Amino acid sequence: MPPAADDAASRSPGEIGRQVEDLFRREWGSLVAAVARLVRDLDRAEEIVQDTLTAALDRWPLGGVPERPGAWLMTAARNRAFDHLRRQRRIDTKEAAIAYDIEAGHAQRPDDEDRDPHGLADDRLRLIFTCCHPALARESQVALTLRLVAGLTTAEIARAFLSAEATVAQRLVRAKRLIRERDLPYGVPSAPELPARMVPVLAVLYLVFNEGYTAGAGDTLLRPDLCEEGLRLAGLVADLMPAEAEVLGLVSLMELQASRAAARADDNGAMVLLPDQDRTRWDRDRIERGLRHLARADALGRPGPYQLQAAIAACHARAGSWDATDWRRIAALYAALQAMAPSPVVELNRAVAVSMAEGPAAALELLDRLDAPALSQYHLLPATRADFLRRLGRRQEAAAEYRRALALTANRVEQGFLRGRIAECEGQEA
Amino acid sequence: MRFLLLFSPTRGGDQSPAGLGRRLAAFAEWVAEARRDGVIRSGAPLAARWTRLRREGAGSSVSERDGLAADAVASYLVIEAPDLEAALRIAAGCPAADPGTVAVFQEDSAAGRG
Repeated sequence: MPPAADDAASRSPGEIGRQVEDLFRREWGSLVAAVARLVRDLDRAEEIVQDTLTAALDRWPLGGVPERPGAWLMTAARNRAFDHLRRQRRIDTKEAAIAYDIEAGHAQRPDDEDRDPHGLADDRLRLIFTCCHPALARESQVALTLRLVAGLTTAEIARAFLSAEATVAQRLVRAKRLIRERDLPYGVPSAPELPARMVPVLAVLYLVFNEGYTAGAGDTLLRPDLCEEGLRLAGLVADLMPAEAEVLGLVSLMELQASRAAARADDNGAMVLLPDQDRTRWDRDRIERGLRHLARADALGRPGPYQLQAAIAACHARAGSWDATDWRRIAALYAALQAMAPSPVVELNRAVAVSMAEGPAAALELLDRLDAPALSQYHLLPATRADFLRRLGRRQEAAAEYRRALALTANRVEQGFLRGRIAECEGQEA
Repeated sequence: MRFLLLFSPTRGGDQSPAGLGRRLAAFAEWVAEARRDGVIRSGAPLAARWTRLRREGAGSSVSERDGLAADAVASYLVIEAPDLEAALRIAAGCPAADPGTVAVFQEDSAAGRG
């Protein structure tokens, strides 16, 4: 066991901090998942894991960091869980505890809902599916996933979503109570159920990512921590379910979108739209990873909405410039996406692609046929219409649409961009 | 002079995984620095389980075995300091005691000399 202090001497405090922080964050979900399977109580599982990490804090600085710290944490957490079970259920021997472990994992329920139908014996997956159970509201699914799987505190979740801490705390309490009272299954759904149950899981992960990528409010366009968390969780699910094409599609989509993060704002934090982005600032490593995941998903031969969105993002990633983009392919991909997962937002994006492939007049016709009431509070609808009108030279109408968009966004960076466009239209009008 | 520092198990403070990780790193860094400076003579964490031995008259008997050290001692350090005030300053600077409890005992160097 290498002494932590000697170890520490050779590394900077920041480096040690990041490594231990990463380790604790990374292991948190696995530990909570493993302990929850044993004690069948999410609150108790969290307490036990917290005690375990605290024990590491008390021991490692003086006794040395174990060679396999993750394994140390898992053993310590399981021992604490067994201690708890002994107290609760009078499991008196280690053999009985191990028997209970096996029972809890595979044979406790007569309907066998805990059995992993795909041979995926990973507790984290069970935990993710429990957190994203359709009986829970979407906000609760997100909060529970971030709390239990990602290890964010209530305060961190509240900060990330600009909510009051008390609101998030209440949401978590209610969600855990609902899981307990309705005895929601703690496991990976069976094969027939899986496609439907996968939908909220992927939606939650994408929501976490998107909240970071397109901040709904605040002073910055990006919250990289949320982007990273969404990507990390999606990568985890992809590792656990490597044959699920849509999971790979989601990871690909996130990587490709995240690759553009550095180019989305200028040095003053002002938003830079895709046509104007400096493509040399795109992260080539992320693009490579995104394209690799997309190719793996394609090879599985089961297309889905995330794969189609990733394919669209891949068109942008491969293009040397805005003008050199394969807009006809993008428009076709949006049409396929609209057929598979109809949504006014998809149709709006298809209109943008059509505007590039065929010109703004054809795109404006598409927008006019769009289900506007569904997007009545979505600032990108008037912003897009404004762009088409501006390109058609109808600048007065464009300025009016930009003003509508301005009234609908709370993001100060986007507001700045829209004000600039209004001034541009009005200036040229005058 | 030598002092014995007994640290209570960590309670309170930032209990998030990231927060605990940062605190662990700070504690490890503090220990490394104190060792480099020759302040720490020895020290180690203590096992979570302990056994209390109590002698009662003739012979001895174990009164408690495998107790959980929930409220006992998590680790100890033997440090070198010029006086109690200096030892307290050293203890107060240890991240493990923020928040937390550390008991400081001064070695009684006169004891046993008659």
